[in-house]
Amino acid sequence: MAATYSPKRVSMADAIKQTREAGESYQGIWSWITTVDHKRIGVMYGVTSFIFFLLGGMEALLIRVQLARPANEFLSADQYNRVFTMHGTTMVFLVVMPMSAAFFNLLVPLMIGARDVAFPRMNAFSFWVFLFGGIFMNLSFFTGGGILHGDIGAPDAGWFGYAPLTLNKFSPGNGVNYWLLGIQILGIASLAGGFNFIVTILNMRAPGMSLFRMPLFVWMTLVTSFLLIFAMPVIAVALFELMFDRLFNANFFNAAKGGTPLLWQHMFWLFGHPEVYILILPAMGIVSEVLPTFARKPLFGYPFVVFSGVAIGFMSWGVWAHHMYTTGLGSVANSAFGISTILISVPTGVKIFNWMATLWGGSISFKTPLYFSIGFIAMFTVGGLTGVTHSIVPADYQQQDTYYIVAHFHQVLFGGAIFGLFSGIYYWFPKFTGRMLSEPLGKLHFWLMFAGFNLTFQPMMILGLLGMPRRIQSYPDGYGWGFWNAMATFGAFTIALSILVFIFNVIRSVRHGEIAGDDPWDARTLEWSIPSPPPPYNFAEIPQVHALDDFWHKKYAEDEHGRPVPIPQGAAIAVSSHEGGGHGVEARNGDEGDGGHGIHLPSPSYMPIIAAAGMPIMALGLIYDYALLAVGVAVLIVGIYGWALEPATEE
Amino acid sequence: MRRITVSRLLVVAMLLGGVFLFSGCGLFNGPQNVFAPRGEVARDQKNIFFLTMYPALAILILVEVGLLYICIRYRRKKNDSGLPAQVHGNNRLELAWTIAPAILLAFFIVPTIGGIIDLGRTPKDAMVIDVNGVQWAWQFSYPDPAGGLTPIQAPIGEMHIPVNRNIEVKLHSNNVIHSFWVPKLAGKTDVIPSRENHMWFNAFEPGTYSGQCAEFCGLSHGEMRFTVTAESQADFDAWLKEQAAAQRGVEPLLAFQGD
Amino acid sequence: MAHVAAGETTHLETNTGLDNRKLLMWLFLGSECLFFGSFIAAYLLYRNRNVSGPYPKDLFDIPFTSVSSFVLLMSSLCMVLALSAIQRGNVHKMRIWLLATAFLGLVFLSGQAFEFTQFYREGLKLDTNMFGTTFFVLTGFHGAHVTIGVLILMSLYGGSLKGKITEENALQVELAGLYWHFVDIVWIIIFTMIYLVQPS
Repeated sequence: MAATYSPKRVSMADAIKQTREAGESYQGIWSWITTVDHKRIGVMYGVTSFIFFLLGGMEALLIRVQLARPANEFLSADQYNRVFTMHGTTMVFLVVMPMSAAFFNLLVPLMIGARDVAFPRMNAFSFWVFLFGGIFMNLSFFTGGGILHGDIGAPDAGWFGYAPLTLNKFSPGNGVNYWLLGIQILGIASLAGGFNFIVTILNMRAPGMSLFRMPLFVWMTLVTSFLLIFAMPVIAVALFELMFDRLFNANFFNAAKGGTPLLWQHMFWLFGHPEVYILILPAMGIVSEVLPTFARKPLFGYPFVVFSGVAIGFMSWGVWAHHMYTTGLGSVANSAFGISTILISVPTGVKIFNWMATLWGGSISFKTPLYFSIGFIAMFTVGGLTGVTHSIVPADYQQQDTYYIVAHFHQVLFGGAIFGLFSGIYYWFPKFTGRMLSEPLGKLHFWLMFAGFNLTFQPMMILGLLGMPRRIQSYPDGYGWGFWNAMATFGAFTIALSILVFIFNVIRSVRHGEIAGDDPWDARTLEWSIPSPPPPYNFAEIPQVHALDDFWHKKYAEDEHGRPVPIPQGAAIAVSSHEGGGHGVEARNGDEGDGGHGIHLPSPSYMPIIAAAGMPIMALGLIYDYALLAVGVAVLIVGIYGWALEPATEE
Repeated sequence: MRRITVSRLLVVAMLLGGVFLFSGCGLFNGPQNVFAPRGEVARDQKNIFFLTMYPALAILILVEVGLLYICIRYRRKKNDSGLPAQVHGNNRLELAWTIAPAILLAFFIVPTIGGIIDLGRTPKDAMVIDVNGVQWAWQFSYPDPAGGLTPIQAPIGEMHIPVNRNIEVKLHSNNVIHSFWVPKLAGKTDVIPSRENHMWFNAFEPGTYSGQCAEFCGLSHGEMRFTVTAESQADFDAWLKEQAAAQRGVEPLLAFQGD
Repeated sequence: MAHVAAGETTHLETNTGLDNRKLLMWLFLGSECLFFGSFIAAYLLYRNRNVSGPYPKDLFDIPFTSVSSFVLLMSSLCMVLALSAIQRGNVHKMRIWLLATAFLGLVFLSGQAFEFTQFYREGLKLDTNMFGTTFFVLTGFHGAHVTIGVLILMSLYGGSLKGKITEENALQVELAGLYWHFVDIVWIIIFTMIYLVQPS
């Protein structure tokens, strides 16, 4: 059914005029709190998740200091357990997922030629829920006897929260309650984001932008979003079950009453394995954008890369029990999941070969974004291949729960996801700030991080093979683990140093960086066709798309040998209008409901943040006092009703 | 470009490091080294590990060296202008590198399933030892050789087995999940409440092998270590008799745990 | 001005032809399938694992629950009629059918409340056994969904009194209907799997 509801349409000239009149309203802290602009939300997502990255990184350093030498007593076992639990939870739920969401927000509308996401207020809601969820989760640190005395109260049952360790009997106190409610809240943010981006991508593409003309990053966003909307409900149910067990004495995981602890593992990993791909696919999308730009060649085998991403998405649902080989599932189950796990490495391998073939025959400019993308390929390959060695079930009986596994998934999630995300930061920073990051500092950052990464995680592989289990607070001398642990600790501080270089680079470049211009990298996708930073309405005129890498084809034609030749400036491009740039028009297409692409003026809204604020209040209420729960529900209802009743756009 | 040289050196160093890894240098050994098996199960697991590790290493080197080669050969030089041919893909090539790894991986499937079945099949002659995981210690109990109904408790964290004899452990927990692991003798099996898991192993040579809990189980998870002493049948029998004599009055540890 | 009325040059339809909100609702319901599916799976996993009673066969009153299931089914019919009324522009009739839908939903919820208290009196609590745990949580979440549905219907009714629900945005009623039918279908599955197909 086509939308019949007509928004109020405004001509571009009117829009610019109105914006100039309301110029001040687009500045100041309130404009950020009420913003529904996908780019601002993306920036907030990025900054917030980076702050959590620093927090999770500090937790990692605490872990590394504790393990640096045998029989160390820097952290007590209690502190250590809380710190590693928060490290894992933070890095997965508060860093990699939201940082990917930052890129979805910043890029998807620009890449598909839309003026915003399908539901801008829901987008803002998603961010605020994430922020409050993250703060709520970290509040748990303060629930111990006193954080200044080292008596911290964070959850202590691991990021995977295996029942029955998470039950009241074995984990008294509120740490695990904060953990489960925190993830529940963050799940709502992820769901809202997932729905929003699927609708945006399926419904709001510019004319001519067929699915197979979409940039690969958009494809990966689509696959990730589908994984999110189907995986998050599964963990939500598992967390509800745990919540009922902990808060209301239910029996889901209570073996004494007939419950089975393995149910938790099945549900956690049924969510958890798609989750792994939720973490890595966005970074793969970023790499697939960066490589062609700097190799000056299109992505090799675009359909193969798309289909392998989709295949990974489907197959990720059939491999969860490979986290459970040692639980005694039986030969049949172990064989079946062994085979499916072996097979999922095929589409992943396809991507690696296609990326290499993209570089092959190119004319490669070695700029910082490319360094990180190549670092991604180099390190992710190690992670992928160690993954293959886990899929061999009998070998995994030795590897499971050792540092070999820790090494493996850091190769994938740090060597993969984090390198990919940094590649994206360097690549798109100019687009959203209008300034370049410093190249020498960027390369210094890369080499420090690359060296630090290898010094940290390659020794862990050896540690695992020397029989060091995960999650142990301390180890005696004489196991041969001291040297490698010391090396890993040294590496971790090298990574920390590289992050300081990055922070310095960002702070310096935001003010003094070289002015970027619209298209500093000679890139291929639509976001580079508009000014940097993009105006609030993104595209003065919705682009008409004729091909994959449409912007490239507007810049280059092919000569008779198939070689690209530049089209003289101004001859064919009427891509963007620069007037009204800078801070400007609050104009975008389709807010909730109209489904159209006409420019109209959406209102900033307080409602998303109000509705989001209800959630942590409800969670605190569940832990401490049901009266507070009622307050939280009331706030949520006020937010939702206010949201539903306020007009999406100024009439 | 000088930076390329740096990265080349780095990869060479990594490769050398890899060679170093298998040279059996002292840094690469320890009491829980899974690559120094002393029992049939651990040996089979090591062999199947190597079976995949070598091809994986070969592919790794291929990819990393290939990546480096591409980076060096196709970097944009100072006086380069113009653009490379805009190759969009090559279906045949891409099919090839989809199918070739699939075939290679298919070869892994056979030994994987074979290994699962072999390890899953407990030898009939195995001696049964009951293992209890508690927070945070291991308790081992043996059937009474004199035929008594009360099992014989070993001292906490000390398991004794006759050398060259198949052992089946039955794994119990009435608290949280633990994982029973003696790296030099066999990979691990989880100890899960409400469920009896079991695994088997043996030791080729006499000695004391260290093991520890591999599943996070709370506060002192890292301290949940134990030893397995493999000794001659005669020594083992004597030890067991000694334990039986010492047992009088010793409460099983579980009694302290409550339900 | 080069770009006079940029809006005019762009098309109004979405790429799929589905309204954004409708697509959102379908995706949401797809996600909900996994939500209820997981709870139902937990119920089925635990159905034979009660270490003590009371057991389902001691408590279930099939005729009673059949009636309340029928009531919920009829509410779906009313929902269809409400939508068809507003699509023909008949706001008055739509109001009646919306109220009827909400009323039948409330009847169903009262039936559930009665059933819960009845079970509770006969000794089934959340912590009694696996049946108590899985039954109350699963049907409780379903009941919460029905409650939200009733709130949505009442909001639509309130909106229609202010003249906000018209033939042009019948979509709002359609979306509420999609949700309502989904919750209804979930109940049919729960009723079949839990009440009718019982372990011997």
